[in-house]
Amino acid sequence: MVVVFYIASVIAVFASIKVISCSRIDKTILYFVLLLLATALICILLNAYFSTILSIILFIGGIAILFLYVASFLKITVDNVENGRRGISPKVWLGPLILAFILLVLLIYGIVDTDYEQIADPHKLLSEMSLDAYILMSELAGFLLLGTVIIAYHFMRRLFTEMTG
Amino acid sequence: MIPLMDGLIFASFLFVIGLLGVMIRRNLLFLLLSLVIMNMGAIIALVAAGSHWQQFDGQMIAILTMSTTLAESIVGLTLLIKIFFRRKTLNIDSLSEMKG
Repeated sequence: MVVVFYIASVIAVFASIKVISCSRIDKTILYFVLLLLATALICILLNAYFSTILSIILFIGGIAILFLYVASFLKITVDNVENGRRGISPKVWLGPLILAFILLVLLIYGIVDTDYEQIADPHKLLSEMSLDAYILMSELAGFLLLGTVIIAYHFMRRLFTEMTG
Repeated sequence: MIPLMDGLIFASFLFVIGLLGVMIRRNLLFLLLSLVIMNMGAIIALVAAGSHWQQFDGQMIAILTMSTTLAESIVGLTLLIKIFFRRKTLNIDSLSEMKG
């Protein structure tokens, strides 16, 4: 089972690197769906079945299809923003990159070095105490999505009236 | 049983790759994809921690994070359509020329 986790994580990291480095939109979205499937497999391996189902429905059925739809709606197939544009020089990003790498090493050291058995106990009461808070949380998530729909409608209203009339 | 450490290291890898994508790309579509990758890293970290402690809390917050990711990408794609119809480009640097 651990071997399956490592294979899936290597596939996910490779797919995410391809997502941020490709220039064709359709190839990018294919690699993005591959990344989502690999992370769904990892969620199954972590015994989180409900999150897996929701992540497949929301991410592949929602976000990937939305990106594909917008790309075909605007008829963009190739990223032509990066052509003829030189990136920022290493003088700008070398210092922050080194400092961020040191921070990453410290973060991984902190993750490895912590003894998790000691801090596992105080969290046991949380799920018993906050059953009502979870209902509130899911309602808030629903209202957040409703607000998103209203924001999208307000942004696109003038465009739709121009297109229809 | 997957070790918690490996799951968290994988989550931080996903987060760092998404952050790198936000920094190096100038296309708004790829920027939004990189933001979704960063959120996937956070979700994997939450699910891994919840699985290690055998409790449902991590999964609940992961589900909330999924809905916020969906909301964020919907608003971002709407702004992308507006920017594309107004400026005929997806370059995020074109927004820095805004006046007034």
